[in-house]
Amino acid sequence: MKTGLLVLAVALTTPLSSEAGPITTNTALPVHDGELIVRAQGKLLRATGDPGRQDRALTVWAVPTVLVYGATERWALFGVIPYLDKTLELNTSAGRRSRGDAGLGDLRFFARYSALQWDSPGETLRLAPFLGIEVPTGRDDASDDLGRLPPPLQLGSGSWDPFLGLVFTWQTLGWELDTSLSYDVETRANDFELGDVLRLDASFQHRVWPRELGDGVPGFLYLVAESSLVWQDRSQRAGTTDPSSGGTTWFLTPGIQYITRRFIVEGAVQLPAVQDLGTGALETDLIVTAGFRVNF
Amino acid sequence: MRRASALTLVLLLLGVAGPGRAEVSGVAVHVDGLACPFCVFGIEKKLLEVPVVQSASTDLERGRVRLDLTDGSVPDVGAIEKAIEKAGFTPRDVTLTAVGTLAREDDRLVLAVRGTDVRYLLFESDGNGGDFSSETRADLEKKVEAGTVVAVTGRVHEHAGGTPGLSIDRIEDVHEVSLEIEGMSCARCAARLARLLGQAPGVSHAAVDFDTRRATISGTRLDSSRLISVVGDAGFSATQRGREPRSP
Repeated sequence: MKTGLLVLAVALTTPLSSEAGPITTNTALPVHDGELIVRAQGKLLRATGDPGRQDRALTVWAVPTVLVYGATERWALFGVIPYLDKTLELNTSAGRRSRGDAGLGDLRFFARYSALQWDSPGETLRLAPFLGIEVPTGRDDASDDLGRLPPPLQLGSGSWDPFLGLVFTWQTLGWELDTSLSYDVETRANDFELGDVLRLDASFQHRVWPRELGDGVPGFLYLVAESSLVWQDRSQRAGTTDPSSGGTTWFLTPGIQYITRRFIVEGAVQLPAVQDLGTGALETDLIVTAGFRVNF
Repeated sequence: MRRASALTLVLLLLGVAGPGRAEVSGVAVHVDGLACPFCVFGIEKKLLEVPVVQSASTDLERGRVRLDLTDGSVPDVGAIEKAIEKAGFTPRDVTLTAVGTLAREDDRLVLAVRGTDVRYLLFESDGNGGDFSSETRADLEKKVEAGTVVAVTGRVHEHAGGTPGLSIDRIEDVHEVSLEIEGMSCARCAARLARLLGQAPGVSHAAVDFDTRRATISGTRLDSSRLISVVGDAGFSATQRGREPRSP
C-alpha cells in the first residue's frame, strides 16, 4: 500500500514555535522566563493524483496543540500534542473503501536555546538551535478488515525519533523574517523505517495595518509569505527500499495573521510548487492551516 | 494597598488630603529588541513583578515602557533592568524625574531625593566624561548654597555597590502655588481635588487642607490658570495666594 509518506511528514513534523512569527515554521523570538503559551492549529491535508486503478485519496485532519514554557530567558521548552484523523479512500474489488484511524498521535518534545541575541531600538536578531524527540505515543498497530493499516495511516510511528535544527529571526516593527533548517532522524519500528526528513523553511511577514503605529500597543495585521522545501529519504521495509516513498516538495504559502499582546489568530494555505516524489506516490493538493495562540 | 488605604484614612481624619509626594516620577524604561505586540505582554508582566511598580504601559513605536510607582517610592533600577532581561530583551536605559536638593559629597554633586535617604550622583549628559563644565558647576553650586528644591530629569545608571548615577537631561527649580478653595463641603472633596491637581502637568505634589480650605501644589513650570481650571472643572472655585521658589 503506497500512500505518499512525504505529505504526512510535511504536515506533522514541523516543531512549531509559539511566539509571534511564522505560521507553518519556527521563530527564534523569546519566551519570557515563566511564560506559558498555548497554541492550537487545525490543519487539513488533501493528497490525490494516484496514477493507478486504486485512485487513492488521502485526507488528514490534524489538530496539533503546542504548549510552551519559558524555563529561563534563554531556554524554552515545547510540547506538541497532535490529534489526528487519517482517511484513505481507494478502489478495491469490493468497491470504494475507506481506511484510516483517528486519535492521539506521537508527542513531540523539544528545547530551544537563544544562542545569539542582538537588540536595537525596534529591531532584533536572534539565532536559536533546538533539539527534540518524537515519542511513540500514537497507536501503531491499528487494523481493519483488510488487515493492518500501512505505516502512513497509523497514528504513531512506533519509534523514538530525534530531531534537531537551527532557526534565525530578524524582526523589525514593520516586518519579520524567519528561516529554519531542521533534520528529523526516523528510526526503525515494526520492521519499518520511515525516511529521514530535511526541511528548509522561510517566512516573511509584512505589517499592513496599522500603517502608522502611533501611541500605545496597536494590534498588527501581517500579510505572510512562506516557503518550505522538504526532502525525505526513501523508507525501508524489511530491509527493502520503498520506491514510492521519499522525494522533494517545495511549498509556497500565503497567509494572514493578526497579533495583539495576548493572542494571535492566523490562517495559511500551503500550495505545492514542486513535487518530485517516488513512483506512484500521492501528490499533495494543499494544506490549509488555521490557528490561534494565547499567552499567560 | 491596605497600607495606602489606611494612610488615606489618616489624612482624611487630619483634614489634609494628598496623593502622596511623587518625589520620583516619569519613570520609563527603554527596551531594545521590542518589535511586536505579542512580546509586550511578557515585558509588562515581568515589570509588574518589581515590588514598587503599580502599572506599566508600553509605547511600542518608541520602545518605551512607562512605570507608575507606589507613592513615595524610588525605583530599583537594577530590578527593572533584570525584569527586562528575564523577558528576553535588552534594557537600554531608565529615565526619571526626581525632586530634591543638591548637596556636595566628596567633592561630587549629588541629588538628595526629598523625603527619602536616596541619593543620586549627578553627571552631565553630554559633558566631558560626565563632568560638569565650569559654568554649569557654578550654577549648581549656587543651588546647593541656596538649598533650592529642584527637579532633575535624566538617565539613571547603577554603580555596583555604590550610589547610583543620574545623567542630567534637564534641571528645573521647583515652585509652589497656593490656592484658596471655595465650595468644598467634606474631606472627601479635598481628597478628590488633591488627586486631580496631582495629575496636572508639571505637578510633583498636591495637598488640599479641608480645614483651612487651602491647596498647596509644588512642581515645575506650574501654570496657575490651568490649576485654577482644574479646580473649576472639579466643581469648586479657587484664587491664587502666591507663587514663590521652594526652599526645603
